Amino acid sequence: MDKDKLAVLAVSESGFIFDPVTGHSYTANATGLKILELLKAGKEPDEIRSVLLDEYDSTEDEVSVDVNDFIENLKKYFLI
Amino acid sequence: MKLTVAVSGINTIDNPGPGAGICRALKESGMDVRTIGLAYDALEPGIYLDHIIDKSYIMPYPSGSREAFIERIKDIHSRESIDVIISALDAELPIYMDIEPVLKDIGIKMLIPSKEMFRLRDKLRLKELAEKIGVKAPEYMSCTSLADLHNAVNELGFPCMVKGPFYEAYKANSPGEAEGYFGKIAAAWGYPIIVQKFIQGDEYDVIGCGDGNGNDIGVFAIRKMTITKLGKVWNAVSIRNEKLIEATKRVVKGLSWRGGFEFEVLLEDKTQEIYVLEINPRFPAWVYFPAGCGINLPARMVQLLTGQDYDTHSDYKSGKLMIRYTNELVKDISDFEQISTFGETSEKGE
Amino acid sequence: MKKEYIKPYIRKQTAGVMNKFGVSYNKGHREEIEGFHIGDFTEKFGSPVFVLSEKVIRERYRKIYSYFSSKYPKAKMSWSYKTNYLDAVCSVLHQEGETAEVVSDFEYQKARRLGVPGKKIIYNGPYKPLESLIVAFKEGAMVNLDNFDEIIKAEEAAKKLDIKASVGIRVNMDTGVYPQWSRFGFNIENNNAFNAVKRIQHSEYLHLEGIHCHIGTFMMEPSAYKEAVKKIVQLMRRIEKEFEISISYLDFGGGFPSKNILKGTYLPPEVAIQPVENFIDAITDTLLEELEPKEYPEVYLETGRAIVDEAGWLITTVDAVKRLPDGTKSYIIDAGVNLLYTSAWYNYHVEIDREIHGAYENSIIYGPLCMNIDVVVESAFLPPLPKGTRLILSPMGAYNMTQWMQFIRYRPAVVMILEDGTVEQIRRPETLQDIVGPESVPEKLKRFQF
Ligand SMILES: Cc1ncc(COP(=O)(O)O)c(C=O)c1O
Repeated sequence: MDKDKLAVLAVSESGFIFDPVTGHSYTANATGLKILELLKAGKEPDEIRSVLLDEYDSTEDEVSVDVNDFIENLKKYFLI
Repeated sequence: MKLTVAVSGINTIDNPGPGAGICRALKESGMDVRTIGLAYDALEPGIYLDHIIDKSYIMPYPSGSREAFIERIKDIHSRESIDVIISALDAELPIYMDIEPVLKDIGIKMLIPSKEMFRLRDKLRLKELAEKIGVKAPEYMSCTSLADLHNAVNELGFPCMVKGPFYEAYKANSPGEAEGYFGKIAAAWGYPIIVQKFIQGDEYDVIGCGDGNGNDIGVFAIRKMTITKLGKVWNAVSIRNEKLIEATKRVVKGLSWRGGFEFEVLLEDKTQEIYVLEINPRFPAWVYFPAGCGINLPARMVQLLTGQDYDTHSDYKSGKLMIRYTNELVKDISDFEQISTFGETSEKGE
Repeated sequence: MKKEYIKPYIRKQTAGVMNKFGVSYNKGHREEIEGFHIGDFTEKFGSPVFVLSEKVIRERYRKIYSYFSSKYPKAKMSWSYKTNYLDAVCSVLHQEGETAEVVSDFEYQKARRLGVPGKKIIYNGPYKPLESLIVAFKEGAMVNLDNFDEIIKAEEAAKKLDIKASVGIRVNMDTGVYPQWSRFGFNIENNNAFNAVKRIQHSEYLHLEGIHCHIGTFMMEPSAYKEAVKKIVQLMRRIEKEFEISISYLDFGGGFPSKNILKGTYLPPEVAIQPVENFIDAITDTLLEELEPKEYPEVYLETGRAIVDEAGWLITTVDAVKRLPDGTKSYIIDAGVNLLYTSAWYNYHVEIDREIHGAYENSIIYGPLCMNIDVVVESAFLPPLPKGTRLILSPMGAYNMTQWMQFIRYRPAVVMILEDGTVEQIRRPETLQDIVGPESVPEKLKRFQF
């Protein structure tokens, strides 16, 4: 996974994300920011899932579908 | 008396809304007014014009849930105590017509047409209206399919105008051109598409405001000098054409029009007869022009609604010129972050 | 304690997404229909399930009939069976006093079986088999003829019964609305209608009683009815004078719109769709202008959609969530175009049964069929729906429960919320036996071995 692109993103606590290289901006919610932070730290999808499960009240199934969907979205935006 | 007026349509883009012009007219009226911008997109330029718009909020789309729309207004009202809303977009007028009584109950006043008035000015009923006010309407046919289009151009001949249900109008000189425009408009705006007989002449525009009892509170006429590709006025000159003013007054009387409007007409070269093209149920984007010439319709509207004295005269000079220009502002990405993540601008000076 | 889980999202901000007409931003959710929990319907009757409201049907009918009858002395209404011919629905409307308007021998038989006497049936349509005409004449139904061949067929039927049968004619005309429905009935402008009357009056076995038209469905412009009434009254005058007869009924068919959203329209239906009163005014005002009180004929309306559409909902369940290769969010639900004939021209109102947090996205809703055309809603602005979410689609009451087809799945239950506050199943879900019942296999095909 290409993490360089993620590394340069300016992430604000408000959920606003600015990419100084491309000039694009994004919005994310708290869960999205959390996943982004974990990806930036080099975590693999499996590790991300278990971190989320520890922290949030959800099921394994739901979290894995959502993490996949989120990563698909990042791919769509060419962020990874 | 300090008043708070919320204004929509602050998208001063190449197809501009009148909101910024309304706010500027209010600010220059001498009244003590706080202006609130109601935007639908974080990049509407009005949001960033903090010298005329004190604070802006993002609204849910008017075509969506009524409840969400009302809730948002109530939320803004609880913080701003809005006295008056001036709605300035065709697309949101229907919802405001529906919720005006709710707004009235919570102390927000509006001067807008009723649904019946709104329907009477529908493009598809121009003929009826023209008869009622004693002007002409160009022959037209409404089309919802290519077969209808062929039928219509056969009937009306070339050149003809191909027009969208809300925006865009093109002059077509051949069946091929007509089909091209038809497809283009249908893709953008849907149906019905109107095919109208072409009449050689000049386009004129009258802005006005009706009090709902058949009286106007001021009118102002212009000749369009240049228009954009979308048919919007870019440069204009004020004129005094009594026939046109009289016709406008008949519109206000005939419909008992309530609120701002734009009466778009064409004067045929040969005969100087008035053809009505359209009546827009709101102020046009060039609403500041008459204000700059002493006919401040937004201010008069607010004064009427809040029980103050207001002028109703239409004494202005002909030969005043409106030059519209483009301009650039420099802002920071954090301003965009603020509006796009919180849905409102920060208070001035914060 | 663990934190509440909210589905993650990230969305690119695109300038210029601002379309003044926006997308349907549907923040609300709907937990019940007339006080009954959405989940209770599916638990008891399965998913999907069509829900109809007796109360709304009666209210819609009464609103239209009371206005119509207050504006014209001899106002009659006849229930358009094809719009929804479930027995329970027809019974509600027959209780209200509507007669039956049918367009096929099947519908005729269905009305008779329900207990509607032949005299209270209007028999329309472009194809009426000889045997069905014989029955209709024998039982005294009001028959409106569509074409010259049918006049001859009617004559034959009456001759067989050795009676002089009264008939009406269906006519069509230019009302300023396109496309013109010119394939049904006799055209007025080209004199066809007059010639048809001439032919009928010359017959030993037929005589003309009424004139019928149905200028189209989901009409947006009341003025079209004004045109229709004018032209039909003119025709009536001409016929009455020429043949010295008196026309006893005029029937203006159906066609009033419901608050559904036609594809390709931007204005919300509250504004785009004129109130039904305006349509009735167009008819009755023109009648009163054109007619002398002594000549008032009976006037029928066969309003279908405007009565029953808004009285119906479909509850359906999200079975899978899928992101398409182009990034579009899509959902697969358990009801498809096999059940939703009207999805071809409506953008249904979509509601969800619970509050869901998360970013709204434009999503496609697919049906369960193995067919590319099975798109139920092309674009709905929805939060991230988990599997199992119930969607409530509406208005659903008109045409779906007659034009649905049995294609690879069973048709689901239809239930009615009754005015006394109970819910009853008015059509049970289909079973294998319902579908294979009519079939038989030739003896030599009966055995196979793998
Ligand atoms: C003859 C006739 N009458 C009545 C109707 C009912 O029309 P609607 O549902 O548009 O009111 C139809 C429908 O097409 C029809 O063909």
